[in-house]
Amino acid sequence: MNHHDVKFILRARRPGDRDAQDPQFAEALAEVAKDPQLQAWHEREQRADAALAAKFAAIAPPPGLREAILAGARASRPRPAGWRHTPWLAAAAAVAVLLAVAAGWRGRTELPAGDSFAAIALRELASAHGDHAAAPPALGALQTRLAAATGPLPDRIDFGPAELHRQGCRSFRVGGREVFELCFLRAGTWYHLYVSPAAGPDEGVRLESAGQLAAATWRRGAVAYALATDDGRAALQRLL
Amino acid sequence: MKPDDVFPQLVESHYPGLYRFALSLARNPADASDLTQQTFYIWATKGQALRDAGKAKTWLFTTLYREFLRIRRRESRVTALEDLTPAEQDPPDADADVIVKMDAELVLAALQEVPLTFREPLALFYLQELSYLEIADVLEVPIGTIMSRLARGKAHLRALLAQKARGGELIEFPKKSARA
Repeated sequence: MNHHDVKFILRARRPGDRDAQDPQFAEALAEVAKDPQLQAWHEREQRADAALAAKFAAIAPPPGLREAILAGARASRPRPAGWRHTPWLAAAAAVAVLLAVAAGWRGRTELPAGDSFAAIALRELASAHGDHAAAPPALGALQTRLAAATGPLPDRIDFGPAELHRQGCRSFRVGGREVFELCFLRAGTWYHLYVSPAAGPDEGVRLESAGQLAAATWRRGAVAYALATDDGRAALQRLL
Repeated sequence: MKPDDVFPQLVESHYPGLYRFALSLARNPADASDLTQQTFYIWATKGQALRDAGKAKTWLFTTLYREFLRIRRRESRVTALEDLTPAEQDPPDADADVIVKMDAELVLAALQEVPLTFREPLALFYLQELSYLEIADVLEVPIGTIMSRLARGKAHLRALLAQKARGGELIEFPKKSARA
C-alpha cells in the first residue's frame, strides 16, 4: 500500500474512534504508524474534518420544524373509520392542547360579536380552536417559513384559498365561505393565520383585541387574511 | 418502549442531521425543511413497519435522499469526475485552525457549491452519523465509488474554502509547500 492508497482510504475515515473497528482503515492506519510524514498528514486531515463537521453541526434547523414533524406524524397515524377522510383535521385534535391552560381567562373574556374577519378569527381561536393545526406535507415548507422568518409577515402567502383547499389545509365554514387556518410557532408564540376568499378592494391592516386575544386583518388580491394570537396585542404587532 | 414513544425519540435524534443533509442537497432552508418533514411523514405512514429498529437511521437518510431525487430533475445530476481541475485534484491541505475561524454559514455555502455527485457523500460524511459503508447504502453506489467521491469531494470543498477565504481577505490556507 503506497502513500496515495493510504490517503485515499483514510479520507473516508470519520474523525475520532467511530470507525475504529473497520478492517480497511486498520490496515491503512498500520501504514500510517510506520511513517511520520503520513502520521502528520493524517492528524491534519482528522483535525480538519473534525473542524468541518463542527461547522456543519452548528447549522441549526429552523424553529418550529420539530413541532411540525411531530404534529404531522400524529395526523398520519391510522384512525378509526370516522377519521379517515379528515386526517389533517384529526391532526388538529391530536396536537398538544397548549391553549387549554388558558381556558380560565378565555371564559372571562368578552369576545367581539359581528361577522368581521377579525371577530371570526378571535372567536375561532377562543372557542373552537383548542390546539394547533398541523399543516399537510405540501404546506409544511410554508408553515416552517412562517415560523422561521424574523421580519414582518408578508401581506400575502404563496397559496390562495383554492390551493389551500386542494392541499387539505384545515378549514371551517362561516357564513358560506371557507376559512383556512395555518398555525405556526415563532419566538415562543403561537400564531394562527386565517385565509379566506373575499370580494372587494385591498384593505390595510386593522387590529382588534379582546383581552389577550388579538387579531390583525387585511385584504390583498381578493383574499382576506387574519393573523391571530392569544399572546396579546404586542406579540401580534411584532409580526406586522 | 411503547410505539408512541419511539417516534418522538426518532425525531429528536435525527431531525437535525436529516435537515442538514437536506440543506446540503436542496440548498435552501424551505426545501430542506419540506424534505425533512416529508421524510418523517413517510416514516409515520410506512416506516414503522421496519422490523429492524437499528436500521431506522439509514432508512431515514435513504428515504430523504430518494425523495430529493424524486423531486429534482435527474438529468442535471451528472457531474463528470474529470470535470475537476488539476488544482482541485491536488488541493491545499486543510488547516483545522483556519477552518475553526471561518463562519459556519460560509462553510455551508462552500459545501453547497460542491457538485452534487460529491456533495451527497460529503454532507453525510460531515454529519458523522454514518460510516462510508452506510453512506454507500444510502446513496446506492459501490463502496469504492463512495471513497473516490469522498476524496474528490474533499478536494473540491477545500479548494472552495480556500477561494472563499481569499475572497473575504480574512484568512488564507497555508501553501502546501510550506508544510512538512
